[in-house]
Amino acid sequence: MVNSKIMKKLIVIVVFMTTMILSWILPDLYKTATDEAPEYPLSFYSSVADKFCSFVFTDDDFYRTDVDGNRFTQQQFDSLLPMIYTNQLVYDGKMPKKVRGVDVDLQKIRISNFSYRYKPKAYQKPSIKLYPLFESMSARVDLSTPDDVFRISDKIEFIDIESNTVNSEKSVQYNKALYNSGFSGPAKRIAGIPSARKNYDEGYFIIDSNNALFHMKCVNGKPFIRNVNIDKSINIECFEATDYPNRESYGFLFDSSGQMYVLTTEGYNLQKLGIPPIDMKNTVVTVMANMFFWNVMVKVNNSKTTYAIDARTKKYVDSIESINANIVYHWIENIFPFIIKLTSNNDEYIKPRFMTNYPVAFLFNIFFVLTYLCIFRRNRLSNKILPSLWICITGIYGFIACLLFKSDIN
Amino acid sequence: MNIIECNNLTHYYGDRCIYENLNFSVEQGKIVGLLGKNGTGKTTTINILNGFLKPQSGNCKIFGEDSSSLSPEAKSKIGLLIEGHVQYAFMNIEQIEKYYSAFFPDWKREAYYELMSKLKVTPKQKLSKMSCGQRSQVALGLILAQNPELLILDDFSMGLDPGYRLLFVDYLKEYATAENKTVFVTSHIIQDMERLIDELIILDYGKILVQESVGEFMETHKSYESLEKAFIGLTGKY
Amino acid sequence: MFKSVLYKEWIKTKWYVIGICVVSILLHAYMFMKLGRSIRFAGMVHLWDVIINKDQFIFREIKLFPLISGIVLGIAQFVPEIYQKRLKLALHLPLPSFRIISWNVLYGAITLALVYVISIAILITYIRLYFAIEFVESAFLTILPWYLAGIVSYFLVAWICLEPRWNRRIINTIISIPILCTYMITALPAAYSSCVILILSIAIVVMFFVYISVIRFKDGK
Repeated sequence: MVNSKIMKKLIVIVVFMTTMILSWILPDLYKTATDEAPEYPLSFYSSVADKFCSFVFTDDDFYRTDVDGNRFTQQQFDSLLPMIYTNQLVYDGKMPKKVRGVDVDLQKIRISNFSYRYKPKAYQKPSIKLYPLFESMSARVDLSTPDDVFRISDKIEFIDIESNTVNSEKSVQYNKALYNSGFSGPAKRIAGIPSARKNYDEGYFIIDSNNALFHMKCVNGKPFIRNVNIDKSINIECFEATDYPNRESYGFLFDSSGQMYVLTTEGYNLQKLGIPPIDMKNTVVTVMANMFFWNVMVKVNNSKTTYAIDARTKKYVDSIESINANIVYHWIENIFPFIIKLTSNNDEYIKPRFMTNYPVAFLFNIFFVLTYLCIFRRNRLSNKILPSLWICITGIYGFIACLLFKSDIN
Repeated sequence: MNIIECNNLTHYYGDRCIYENLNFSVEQGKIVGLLGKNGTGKTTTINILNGFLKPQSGNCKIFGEDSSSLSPEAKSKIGLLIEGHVQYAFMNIEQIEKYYSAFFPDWKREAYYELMSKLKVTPKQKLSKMSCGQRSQVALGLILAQNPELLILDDFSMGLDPGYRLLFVDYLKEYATAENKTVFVTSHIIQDMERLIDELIILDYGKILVQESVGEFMETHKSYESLEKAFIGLTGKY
Repeated sequence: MFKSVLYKEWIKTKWYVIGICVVSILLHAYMFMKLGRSIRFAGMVHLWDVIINKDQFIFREIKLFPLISGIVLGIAQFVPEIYQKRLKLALHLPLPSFRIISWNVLYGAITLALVYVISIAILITYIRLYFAIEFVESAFLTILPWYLAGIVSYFLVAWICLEPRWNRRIINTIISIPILCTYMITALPAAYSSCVILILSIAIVVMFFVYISVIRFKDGK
């Protein structure tokens, strides 16, 4: 008697665990078997035609078109996008002398072109909060990796790597400069490029506890710390440092609503990008910039919008929506009443994420309940109530779990 | 007083009926042998008695307790010999005695080592390195040391040569009689049972054929020269 | 009586436990030698850079050790119990059945926990000698799921081995594999930092599965 009471409780636990495991494994296996690579049209704003031109992918092929539906050959397309196909046009001898009234300067085009990608994964991942502070004015072409790293909690500390000890002198020096500039610890976020493989070094940007942004670097061995004096109305969420050859910007700033800005090197001027705020936890932003326009591709879930913004003013010019050509709806997906995922494309953390599909999936759940009752029609009703209830909620997962442990349930 | 009581025992393996409404009891101080051909439910009965099998219906009581949930006190009064003299083969005779002695307050070390002295084994020799017969003696020694009120021995003669079987039976008979122990035993070797048991229960497929004292049984079946021949005559050759 | 159970389990698994300890020592020695070589060849500065900025974990080799040791100890401890149904000997002892099984499982869990705690302590101490405290926190969160996988694998092997029927052993094995996979999804340092409670909870829940097998054994399934 005691054993059967204990057994009931244990079977509930094991059926629950099996159900959860199945809700992770089955949808994952289904996705692995049926997933298709997304195919979005690739759109760029033409600095010549003042409209979007796109590569559109079909089942086996692709074509080049614009928003008016005109189709183009490769050569015609190259001429529509001179800022992208610069090398090809120069090679073909078809590069125009002026674009938008500006003399074509190949060097300037190369310096002005850059690409940037914001991925939530880079922002949402565990990291060791230690940073190397490079010498920004080393008088050498290549940067050399420093022998120490720093951490900032409520104070800055430099740790000598070889001895694994704190360099008190340097720490005191930087702490003094940090607090003299108005810094209030602890630091909420530190952004920079912690690699010697960059075009130049502009140190780090630090968000303090009051949401103020500070610029810190090492110049000729001495601390350089400036309060960037961002407008207090902007609640800084994160900052991503960049090192583009044109040296026009320090990086991209995101506020708590997801509005994107660029921090320019011209007196730390903050320019708002002419795109709507993004969901920073779920959106990938790709910027492909040239001297006239920035193509900003914003992708979230299965939708993608490409914005054209003016390269100088950062104001909105135009936009185009793209649809994933490979989205195919399989009705059978509704068999999964909910899905547990342990990983995500948007972060690097292992944790359970729960997605439900209930109103539609409920029909399948009822089907499984009826199937269960049919299979065990000869069993006592009292043995079928709890499993039926469980299958009603958990559908195929609970059904399989109850079948696997049928001898103990019944 | 009945030490073992089984009431209306019914058990099936799938659709195959082993027995239905089986009833028997074992009185205190008796040595009872459970006989039957292969597949008649001897080991099934032993398993039910020891709480290793739940019957479809009916129950067994040992010392008045349900056999499927015996208390530790009841279990300490039962000495169990599993079919094949199964014991912990990775232990030697010293280790195994030391292990079991901790569980039984009335442990009789001398009884165990007296039997062990008859074995031609070293104290450090593992059971896995012993012969079948030697292992059976170790198993018997452990039961004797435990000094239980009830001994349940499943197929005690399995794998033993005639010499060891004789030793086993003689030891057991002497011990059980002297100490007024209750013994419930199964075996395929009827001659051994004949020397050992006071009462017999003969199982046939689905039911008990006979439950009576050996004397009464032989009186009833005078025409057979031995218990073995009587058993075969009663249950059929095949 | 508990000491007797420990005594018996130790006799049964002594060489496996010693083997696990020896493998652990050799593995640690190898990892430290390898790290020493990396320091000599690439330098500490490069090593710190690789760990901080390339998300490398320097003691990756330890990943499968707890899992394999848990499985090995579980098999060493429980396969002999199910061979010839020796579990009957344990269940027949004058103790409540669940207590005797709990003691058996406790032996294995404590043995593994001791080995793992020592291993973690050695790794953490070594890391702290050469690296900043942030590395210690990151390393601990990285190896925690792997060591928990060892304990969980032990409990699951007990559940599988003590199950009396082969078809259910297969089902138990099929369910156990994804449970163990949850602890081994990634080697990215500290990736499990958000779900420490969850992986601990799974380990605690799985501890009770072995009783299902024992009840089924007692029911003669």
